[in-house]
Amino acid sequence: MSFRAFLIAAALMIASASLGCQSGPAPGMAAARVNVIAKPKAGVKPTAFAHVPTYDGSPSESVTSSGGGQYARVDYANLSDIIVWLEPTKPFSSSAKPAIEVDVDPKRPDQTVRPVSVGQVVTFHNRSARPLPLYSVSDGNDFELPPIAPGATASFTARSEGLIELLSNPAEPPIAQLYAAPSPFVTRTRSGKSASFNNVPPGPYRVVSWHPRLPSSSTNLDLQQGKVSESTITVGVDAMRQASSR
Amino acid sequence: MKHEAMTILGAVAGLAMVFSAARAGPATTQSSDGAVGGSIQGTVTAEGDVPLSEMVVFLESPDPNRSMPPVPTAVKVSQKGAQFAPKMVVVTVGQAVEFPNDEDRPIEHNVFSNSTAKRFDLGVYGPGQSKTIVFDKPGPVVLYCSIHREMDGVVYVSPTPYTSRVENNGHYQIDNVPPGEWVVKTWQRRRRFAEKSIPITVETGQSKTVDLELTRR
Repeated sequence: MSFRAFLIAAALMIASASLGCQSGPAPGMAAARVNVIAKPKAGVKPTAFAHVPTYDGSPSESVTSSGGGQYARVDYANLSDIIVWLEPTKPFSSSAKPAIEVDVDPKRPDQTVRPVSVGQVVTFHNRSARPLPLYSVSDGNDFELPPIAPGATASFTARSEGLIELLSNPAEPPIAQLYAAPSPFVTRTRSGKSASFNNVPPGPYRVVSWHPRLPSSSTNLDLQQGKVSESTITVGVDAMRQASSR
Repeated sequence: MKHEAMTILGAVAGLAMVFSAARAGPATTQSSDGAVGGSIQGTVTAEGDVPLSEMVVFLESPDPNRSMPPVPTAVKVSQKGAQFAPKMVVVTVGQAVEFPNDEDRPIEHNVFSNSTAKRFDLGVYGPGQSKTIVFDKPGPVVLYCSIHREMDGVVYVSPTPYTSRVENNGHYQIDNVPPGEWVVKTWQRRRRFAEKSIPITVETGQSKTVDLELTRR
């Protein structure tokens, strides 16, 4: 196999793993299915309030209470924007993950958090009708791109783990948000769903979750060749040790 | 009964902390060698209509062993109407913050933070109860309630007591700064620009102007 063919095969492997194909792993590879559950803090009275809107995970600029003296509560059963990845616990090498394209338009800011991998190229496609300057001041991933013509693209490479807020006008909220995970095997899911990873090299991994608001959770998972290994990860405040307060 | 006992314990702890801090006395205006401090003031400017009042200017010492004045007394961040009040507070490393549940109806809260500078979970507690926590590392600590989705706030923990909230017109002023080498730094709650870090020298009795222009890079 030529080097070029090897690179294409490796890229396809990572792409299929990220897409969560359900057809089982390719020969010599493994797969994982991670069930994600979000739970409220233990001891919270679940029936104290009737009105329970969905928390969409995006930063809220406005402050409101709903009518009738009920305050909007976090809906753990429908919690979105949970980023899940498999982190190899042994040294691991892989080729660069294919670039991800993100449509950007200040009139239609994306409220979700998109998963990317550290080292992955992110291509921004200007879907607005005017030239669009883009920049970020997020820790470890700061950049500034010259204005992108309508319909044109520009790219940057995620350099560091963490949330990346994409800005255009500093007076306005981010027009897109990305989370860069330290693994090529990363996806986004929501509570009650599962995150699937196919064609992953067998071996020991740490399953890690991230949410814009809640603490990260992690668990170990040993991926075996030719098998789909299953694990469950629980997202919630109880994943964090209770602080000793006075 | 259990809740009442916890409330009393919390109140006693809070009073003890206030008295302890009061004995330590107010922040000194003199350095360790007796020199009178100076002041730093200036204007923060930035492109666009960015809310400057949600910004902090603070001083950091290049000498990690530099002695600092006693830690100020505890501040209070109330929980009422499923909101934190105030929504943003600036404290010094080592300073405590009380989190009373001031709801006038039986509404419980669960204050927590997942921030690098302080990860904590105060547990679930109802009206009339209060919990206190000491912030021992510098940096922003974003507050949430795990129950109420629109309840968020921030405690900015400054490495020194020499801080200033930026006014709406961009002005800031830090008084009683001991003479010597310092670094002027910025922090934005909603970060839209690169943070500034400017080394300066403060001289006894002098007022120094340090204007800060925030840019994207």
